[in-house]
Amino acid sequence: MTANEFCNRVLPLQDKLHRLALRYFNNTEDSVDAVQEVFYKLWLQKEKLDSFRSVEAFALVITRNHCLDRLKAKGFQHAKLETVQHPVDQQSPYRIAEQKDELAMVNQLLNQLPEMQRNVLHLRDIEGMELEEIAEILEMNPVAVRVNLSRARKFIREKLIAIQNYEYKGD
Amino acid sequence: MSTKEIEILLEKYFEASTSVEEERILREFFQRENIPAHLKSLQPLFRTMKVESGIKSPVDHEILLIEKISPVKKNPFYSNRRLYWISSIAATILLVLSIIFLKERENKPLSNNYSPDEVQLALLQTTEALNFISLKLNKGTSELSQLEKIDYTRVALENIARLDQGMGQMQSGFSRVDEGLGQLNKLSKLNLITNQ
Repeated sequence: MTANEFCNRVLPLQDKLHRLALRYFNNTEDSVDAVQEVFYKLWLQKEKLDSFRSVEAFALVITRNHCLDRLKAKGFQHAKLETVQHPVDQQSPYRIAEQKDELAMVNQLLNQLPEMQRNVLHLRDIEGMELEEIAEILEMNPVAVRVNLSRARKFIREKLIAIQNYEYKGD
Repeated sequence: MSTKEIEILLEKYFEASTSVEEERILREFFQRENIPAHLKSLQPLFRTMKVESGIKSPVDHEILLIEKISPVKKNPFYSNRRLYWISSIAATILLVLSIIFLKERENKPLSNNYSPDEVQLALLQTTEALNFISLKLNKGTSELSQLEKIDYTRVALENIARLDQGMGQMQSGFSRVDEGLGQLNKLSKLNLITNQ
């Protein structure tokens, strides 16, 4: 892949990569740093990029791995991938709901999901990717992706209903 | 789209069997303000998705990458030094120009405002000064005669060249000694044979 092709095909992924990094770090600064390093890594192996079926999928894999490494290095997690939790201080979703900060509340709930489920939900509901593409990125079979997606969505639904009931009780 | 249809889609959504397009319909539906009460709790989810999918990178990574990979970084020391050079040359040119300018201004009144007597006096003084200079110059020339000493040195150097000649002679002498030694050797061998 030439420098020109890199500019036309890889760099336009920056918003998507930024959103994925944001899922892990929950702050803009770390996400920008991570994406910058990911682009540098991709640049160094730009000759190799043509051999991948989807450059986008490969870039997302690199971003995910980079974010996980970074979180590990920072000591935020000590367990397996499945249990990566967010580094942010876990504020109660109920408290946030009281503040009427819908966005923060939902993000808080997403943070409570296991990493795999959160990734699946992110790639599907925010990036609008097909289950097969997600399966390729996360190295799972499409059926497992569907199961994870369904679980993640149901978890969020449950929590949202619980929060609504709590709010009614509070009123 | 009716509430009933939305409910059906939602059911599929939570089983993860909706298509991307159906999910887009759901998302748009929940952007409205008047949502049926029993669906209201789900509104934050779909509204958040819409907002999150619109987040853009706050920086242009193309610029960051180019900055990172460009091989020659601007050296501030180097450019400063160049600046010094340019400014010193400029200052010199300015100085020369201002001297020329001032001289020219000084020269003008000379021919107009001085009396013939003063001009005469100046001429005399100038002549005197020039004489003084030539005197000093002559003295300098006499000192140039010291250069003759260099000639002596040249002669001495020639003597050194003769050393080379002597060395050549010594070499031929040594080779003769060598020859003689060879013959002596032969003689001693002969001696040995005759003894046996």
